[in-house]
Amino acid sequence: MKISKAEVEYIANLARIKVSDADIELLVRDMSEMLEMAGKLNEVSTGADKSDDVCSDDVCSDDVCVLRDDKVVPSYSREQILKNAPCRDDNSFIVPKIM
Amino acid sequence: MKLYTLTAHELHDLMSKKEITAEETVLSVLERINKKEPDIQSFITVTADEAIKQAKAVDAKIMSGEPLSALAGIPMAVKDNICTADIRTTCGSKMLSNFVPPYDAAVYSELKNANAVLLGKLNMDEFAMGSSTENSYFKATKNPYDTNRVPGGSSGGCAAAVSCNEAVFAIGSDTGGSVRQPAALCAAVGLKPTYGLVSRYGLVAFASSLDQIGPITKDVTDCALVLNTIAGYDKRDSTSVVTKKTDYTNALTNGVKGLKIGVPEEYMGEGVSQDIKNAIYRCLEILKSMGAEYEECSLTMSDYALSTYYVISSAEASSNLARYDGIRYGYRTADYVNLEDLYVNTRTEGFGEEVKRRIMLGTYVLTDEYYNAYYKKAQHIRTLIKRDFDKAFERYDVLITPVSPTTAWKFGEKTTSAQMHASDICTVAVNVAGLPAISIPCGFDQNSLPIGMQIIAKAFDEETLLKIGYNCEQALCLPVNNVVKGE
Repeated sequence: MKISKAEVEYIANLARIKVSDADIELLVRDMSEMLEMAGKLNEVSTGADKSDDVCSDDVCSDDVCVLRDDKVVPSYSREQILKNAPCRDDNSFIVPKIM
Repeated sequence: MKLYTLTAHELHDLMSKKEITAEETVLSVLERINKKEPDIQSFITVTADEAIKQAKAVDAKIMSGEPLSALAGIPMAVKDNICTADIRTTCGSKMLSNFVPPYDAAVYSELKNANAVLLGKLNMDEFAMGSSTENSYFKATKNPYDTNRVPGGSSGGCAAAVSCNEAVFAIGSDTGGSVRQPAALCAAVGLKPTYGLVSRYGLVAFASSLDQIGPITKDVTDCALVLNTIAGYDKRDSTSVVTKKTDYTNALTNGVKGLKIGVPEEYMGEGVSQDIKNAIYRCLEILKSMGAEYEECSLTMSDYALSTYYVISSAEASSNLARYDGIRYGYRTADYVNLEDLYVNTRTEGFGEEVKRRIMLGTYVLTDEYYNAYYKKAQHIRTLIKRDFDKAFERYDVLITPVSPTTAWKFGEKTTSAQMHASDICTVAVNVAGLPAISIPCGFDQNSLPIGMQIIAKAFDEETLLKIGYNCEQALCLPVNNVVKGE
């Protein structure tokens, strides 16, 4: 499937990524190639009539996704968490003014 | 004696008999790192001082007569997407180039508790997206068997380091073959455990329903020892599975009589090099001579595994990597006037090309318009792929296939995403189905490059993988080359 330049720009915007004019042709080519590969999946019939049978969430073990008790336990200190912030003050992350 | 050439179990025996110390061992490996790193470039960070400190602490325990765990004092390294408290964890990305985690990943905690000695953090494709380690933001790791060639990926630093004795063992992660394929290309043993067997807590997420942590070791015995240490339930990973405590070294016994092996014809097609097919059939004949039975079989959904994998992994990556916004940790652009700019410029400057491509593909397949056509479709086919394996395991104990359709290729040889993705063709289905698989060295091609054989088992049957791997290893007695000898 061939993806258009406009679609690449639309997706880039959704993904919060800027695409330069120089890169866009390459991305059109690469994404088209990847989508063509993904399009191969259409060869397999998993139509609406079959989708009840072919459920999509039974991969792996039946035991997976066990939820733990909803109990409050100690976590990391504020300082530990803020240590990696690119911009901070004593108690918070600093972001550009939004209002 | 060159201590750095020895395996973990050999070093453990010598340490237990007090013939060597942990400090001598770690110094030997650190010297090896100093010698080989300029050529091989496996490490992003070497933690030499901390390693020596940890080794001395192990020696003190030995002196005081404390019992020694199997990995105590063994110098090892971990892939740089596994969090290590107070040690930089970059994920091979500019985005995390200054990230210092406040906590240890579960696997690293377990290794620390076992008193294994951390040498440092290993190079990888950015966010584990790649099959050659060429996508690292920092550098390209070289294959120790031929430095003009790639070590495989994404755990290329792990496999190269173990292969040229810069670490006794390494811990990697495998989302679509990232432990097994580099192990195969560098003549190491690589295990991708069953999904849920090893905690993913502290592993930087790429595709959460496919990611699994696994060891890369010099032999199958070490693989069992490391798995003993890292396997087990962890409440901090909601996909961790409660299993009975297993001593995987019990599987390391002679004899494969009566084992039934299936050889899926789809994995032995035209794209697979003849040298690789020959090496695998030679190994199958050896297993047959020991009493196992093998026959060709078919996994009819194999043709769809690669597409399924790329749709699901890219979708999950686009969601997982949405967290990198320049606010709480990681890289932040210097060029912004408002919040939107900050997000967009941070992500545009912080991610490499392959990561951006996959985020965009993932975003595309999750849009309202294409969700059913691609993402939901891939999830349905994922179920069919799993059933395909289930059916095969009604007849066979294990399946044997190549790990990679070719041996190590030259840098820059694969120029398009499609060419690179095609190299994952033999490994991705295992992740899609959540199964365990091991890669073991099984020979060399005409250019003396290593060939790996993949053994796949049913979920949680790592013991059979280790048993067959161990028997092949004993029977094959592959020639030890200069890389391994340490010359």
